[in-house]
Amino acid sequence: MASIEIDGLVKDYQNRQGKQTRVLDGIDLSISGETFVSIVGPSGSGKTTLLNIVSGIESLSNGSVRLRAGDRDAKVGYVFQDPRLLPWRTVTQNLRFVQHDRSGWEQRAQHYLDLVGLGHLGDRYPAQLSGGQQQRIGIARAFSVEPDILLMDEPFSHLDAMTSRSLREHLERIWLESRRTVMFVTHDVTEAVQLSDRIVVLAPGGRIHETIEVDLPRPRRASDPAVAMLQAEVLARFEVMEAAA
Amino acid sequence: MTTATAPEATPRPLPADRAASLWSRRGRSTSSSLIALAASLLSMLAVWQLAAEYGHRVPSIGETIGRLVDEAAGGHLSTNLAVSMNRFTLGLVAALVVGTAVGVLMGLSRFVDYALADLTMAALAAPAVIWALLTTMWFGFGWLTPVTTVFLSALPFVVVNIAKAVRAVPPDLVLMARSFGVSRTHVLRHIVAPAVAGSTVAAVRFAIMSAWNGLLLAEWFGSTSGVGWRSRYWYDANQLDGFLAWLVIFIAFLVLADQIILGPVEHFVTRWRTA
Repeated sequence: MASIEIDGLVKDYQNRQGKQTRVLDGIDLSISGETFVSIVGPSGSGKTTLLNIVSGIESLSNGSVRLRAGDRDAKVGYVFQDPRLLPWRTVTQNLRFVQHDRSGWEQRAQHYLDLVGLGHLGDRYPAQLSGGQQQRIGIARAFSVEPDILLMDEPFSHLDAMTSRSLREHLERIWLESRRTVMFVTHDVTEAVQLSDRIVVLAPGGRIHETIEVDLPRPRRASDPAVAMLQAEVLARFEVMEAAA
Repeated sequence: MTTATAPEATPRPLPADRAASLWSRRGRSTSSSLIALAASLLSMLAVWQLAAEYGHRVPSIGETIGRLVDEAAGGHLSTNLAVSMNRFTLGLVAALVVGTAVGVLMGLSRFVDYALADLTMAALAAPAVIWALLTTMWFGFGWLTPVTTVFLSALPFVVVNIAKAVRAVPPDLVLMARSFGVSRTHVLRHIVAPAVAGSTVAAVRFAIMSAWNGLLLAEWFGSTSGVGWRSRYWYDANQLDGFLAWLVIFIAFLVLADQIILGPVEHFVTRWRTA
């Protein structure tokens, strides 16, 4: 079983004048098992920094982060805001690039390309695909390494409403099939409510404001009354937080 | 397992149609290039022939080609061309190796960039004739003069283009690779190398042009063999057909190197842009 254990995480940035700014301030968070956790919060609350530290792209100033899968280090897949595909490699070659375990990678790649509905475009270059298709390749790439933990940083924020709605449904379906531990950063409350088992709200200043459990049946649709009600409630709590800030 | 239908329109036609359209486009592009090359060659020959008819002391195409045949028959063409090619290859390879190392350092380190940027710009601005004269004064007549001139003429072009290419490696892609735990070797092979490939071809192209100019001048001033020396031989003999015959060889080398070697290489490394 995979887990993310974050204890007392602090991140400070230093500007050129030597002044320190605290971006994350004492984050304690434990995620384990087949859980889909969303991190939401206003701009500048440190959501992406938190994800980058968890993935190892950025260093932390204090505290600890542990990613485990049983008694070994967890394997991580990452979906970025932009697809970050190698423009000089075809879709299939892009998926091959991130494979550590080369045995059976072609079947895995084809399987996840099929799941995002792009199994027939493996020989295309990224420039030949639309923005939505590129992002779906990014999702397929992350799943194709069969990660224990999947990190996603606002993967649908650059897309139009129709495409992002469709991709959310794709994502939920793939997740229901594969059941990874997911840490999903978003500023979109609808997205968080539709996809998550738990929503962690970050406040300005990089502290956890509150954690909301989402106990709704799956698969969910944004138009489901229960989803809409919870979304309204979360937004109301947001307003309270912003008023207090 | 469900296979979803793509909600967005695919912006390109299906693979079979696409392949056909690509072939058709490529075919059109190749035939257009050939027509352009033939038109350019014919217009040059026409101007040359007109100049020979009406100009003062301009040898005709026939006279020039005749002299070239004589040079080939006497063994001068192959001997001097081979000597020049040896010197050219030696100097160019040295410039590519040293220039790539310095360019990578300048691309990676701001300090090295600051330290060498002005020197590189000065070297870039220096005409090849300056290197040819300097090396002749430094080393006299011998192989070192043309080889060093080739090296010095090509080096700044390699350094500038490689440094630019290294700076252009997309950091987002490197971070993506790191987040997936991709090895450094793979990052070098699949991100850095393709990202710098286009600029590397540009570097080699400029280096070849500048180095070949430098070689001709160095052999002209400081050598007793080679293409440049043989051109000067006919110049000193006041035989314009001989001089022009070697000029044709000089230009033909540049055009062939560009069209036959560098053109296809550039097309290969940047094929993803036009696919």
